[in-house]
Amino acid sequence: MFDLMKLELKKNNIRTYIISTFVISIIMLGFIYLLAYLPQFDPNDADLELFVGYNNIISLFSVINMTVFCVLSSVMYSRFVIEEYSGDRVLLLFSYPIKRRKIFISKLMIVSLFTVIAMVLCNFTIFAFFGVSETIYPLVNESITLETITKVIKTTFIMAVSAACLGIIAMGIGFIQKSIPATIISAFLLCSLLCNIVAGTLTSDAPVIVFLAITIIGAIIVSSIVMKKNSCMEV
Amino acid sequence: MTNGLAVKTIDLVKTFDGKEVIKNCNMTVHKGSIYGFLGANGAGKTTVFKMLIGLLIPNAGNIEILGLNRVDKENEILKNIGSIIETPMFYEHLSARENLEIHLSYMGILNSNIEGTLEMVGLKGTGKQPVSKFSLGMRQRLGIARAIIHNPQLLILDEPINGLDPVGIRQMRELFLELVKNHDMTILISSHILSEIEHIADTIGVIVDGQILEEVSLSSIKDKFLMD
Repeated sequence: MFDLMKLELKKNNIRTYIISTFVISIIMLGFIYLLAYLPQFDPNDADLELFVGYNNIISLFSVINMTVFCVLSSVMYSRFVIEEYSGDRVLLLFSYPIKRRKIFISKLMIVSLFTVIAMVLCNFTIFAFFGVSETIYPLVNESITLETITKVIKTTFIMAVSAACLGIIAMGIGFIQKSIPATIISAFLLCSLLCNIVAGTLTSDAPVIVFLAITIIGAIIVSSIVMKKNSCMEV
Repeated sequence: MTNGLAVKTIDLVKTFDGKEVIKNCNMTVHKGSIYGFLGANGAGKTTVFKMLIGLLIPNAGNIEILGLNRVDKENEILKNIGSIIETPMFYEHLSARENLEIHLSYMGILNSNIEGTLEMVGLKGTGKQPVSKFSLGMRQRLGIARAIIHNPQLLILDEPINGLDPVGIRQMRELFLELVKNHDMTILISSHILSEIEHIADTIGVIVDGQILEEVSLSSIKDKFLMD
């Protein structure tokens, strides 16, 4: 499996996605400062209370970053899976003496791992930078506690896994439709829909865990459907 | 098990949307021979080849390749097949050499003479060039290189000389003859033009509307089925 994953990295230029992660990190760093600064525009505006305090900022930022990484994941799936399985290259891929399931799982693993690792690194870097700057020039009228740091770590991992899982679900839709736009648009719509449902409840743990469980179950179901389709696929 | 045969299909049937496109296809290819598969466009040549490789599943019938049952020993068979089906596709941003390296990795082969193979197909010195810069003829040659680099026992080539110039066609014919003579390969090669394969094939199978009408030695075929 590890060899197959290395082959996937060799076939697809992973540098593009590493550069994308850097660019996303820079943009999102700017975004977290915007979120932190928003309540200062009009301190009396009740609507802006959503952005007050580290807990709210961490939750909102993580949800938006999850959407961004889910879309990046769907772009990767478009290249690693949709393009390969819907084009003529699938003729070659299926003529190798390796089980189709193994090749497919290697693709899923490489994209999922990349999504989780990239998002975790991006989140931690941004939060670390933001945290340090807050000790020098605070924008938020709160102090950073151990609880805040725990919240960052927990939310980051949950959202990174969710981004990878939603990416898999979007890939499944794109695979059935044999369409790259369908993959990317599905990722965006899925994130938007789920984020709108759970965004208001993200400050407490239970809804976040339910959200994570739903995305994991969804990803497992979609993966099985696609693998089954893939195994008996005629080209 | 059928000794001495590279390919044997028995009453192979394939239907698409209820329409029978391959009808009771019986093909016999002897080891160490070149089998020319002749038929007009749309006759069913590629469909038969795809079934041999496992890209399509027959609705009925049986396939034995290198004495092994197609369904039971799929991976073992695929290790010993080199193929070109339709237009060969590559990873465009990678070089010819890298494309071949990827192919070898998938085939589970660690060491192979990549430069030697490129030279065999007339692509000496092009190994470092990205495939995106290759002409149609060069791609076809690289496709042939990929099909033979892991030294398979059976080569399945679907119209492999499309896009080659007359010199290239001659070179590839010589290469195919050499592969059979010196590398103990068996070649199954398709074409819709008799003159393309008549110079090299030992046996020719003629497929018309999904049915193999006859498998005959080359000498008698010209009088029976003259095709453009």
